[in-house]
Amino acid sequence: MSERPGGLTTGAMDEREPSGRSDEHEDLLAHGNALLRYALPRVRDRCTAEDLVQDTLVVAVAKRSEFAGESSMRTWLVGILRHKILDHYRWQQRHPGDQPDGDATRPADDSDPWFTSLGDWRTDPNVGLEVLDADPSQTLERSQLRAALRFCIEHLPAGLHRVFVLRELEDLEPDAACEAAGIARDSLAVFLYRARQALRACMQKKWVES
Amino acid sequence: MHAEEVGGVVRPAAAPDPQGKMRRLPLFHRCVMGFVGLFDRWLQMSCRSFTRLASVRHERPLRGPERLRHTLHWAICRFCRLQERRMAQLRILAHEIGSGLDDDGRAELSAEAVERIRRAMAQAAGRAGGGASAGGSERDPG
Repeated sequence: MSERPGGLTTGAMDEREPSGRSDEHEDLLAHGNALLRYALPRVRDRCTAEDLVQDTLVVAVAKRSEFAGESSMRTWLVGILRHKILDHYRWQQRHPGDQPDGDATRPADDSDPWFTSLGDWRTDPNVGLEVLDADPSQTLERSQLRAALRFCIEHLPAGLHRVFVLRELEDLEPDAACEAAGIARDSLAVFLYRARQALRACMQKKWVES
Repeated sequence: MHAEEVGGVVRPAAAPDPQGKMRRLPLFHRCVMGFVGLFDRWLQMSCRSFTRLASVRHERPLRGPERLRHTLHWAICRFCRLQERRMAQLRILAHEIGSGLDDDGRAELSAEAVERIRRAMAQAAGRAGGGASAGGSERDPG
């Protein structure tokens, strides 16, 4: 309580100080675009991604003294951003009503758009996916593929998206991914199966149409 | 959008193949699967169950009977065989995105966002400095 007056005066001093201090933070801000690129496929919209980058950099300023210099600054910042993203997922779980597709902690109905009732493929599941055979050293083709997959990932439904990101992009162990996504261990396989099939169909459509 | 979302499941859009490229499986394959598939059905196996098992396989090793059913279907269905390989390739691609190899210059913070972040950082710096000095002055009298 007695700190308040002190806080107020330093707050007033800040009005004059930022010009002198801003240079100090430019090196942090230089990583902003890289952080945004890290966050974008992991959260589904750009505004949230920008907010998370801002939170990260603000925390980085406050904790600057804790940065030991053992790792590169980029790695340190990405570590903070990663925690922010997990926090964001936790927030999403607590507010399922805010998302367009409602309760995302349970897999939806059991019907399958890709198979007949006997369980055979409706259409050839591999048409258009020959592009995946692209030589990894062909960087241009490879980055096109990545851009397409990123688009498809960003358009997954919220529940599938969260599980897929935690398991495949963040590369968490199955148990840790379930905990972070707030789903039962048993339904993990169903979620991932759906997400992978959705991504496959999406990638396929992209190449068949173009 | 290439697909519509219904109750959390992505369904193919109503007109999936404008150029007729998304064809059904070849007749020959369907006939062969009709005969060989009897054995398959007896094992309660189908392309759908295979795909599910193939997905589970990324999470944990398959158990005995699962592995047997997986292998048998793998042996007789070339579409599922190829499909499994494509899924592994997609997985590698996803890992590349996740590990930050994906450094195309597409995404950049807007100028407005940069300005906003710069202000927030300056404020945070002020708060951190203020907190430290306030803490110091508090401790002195104590």
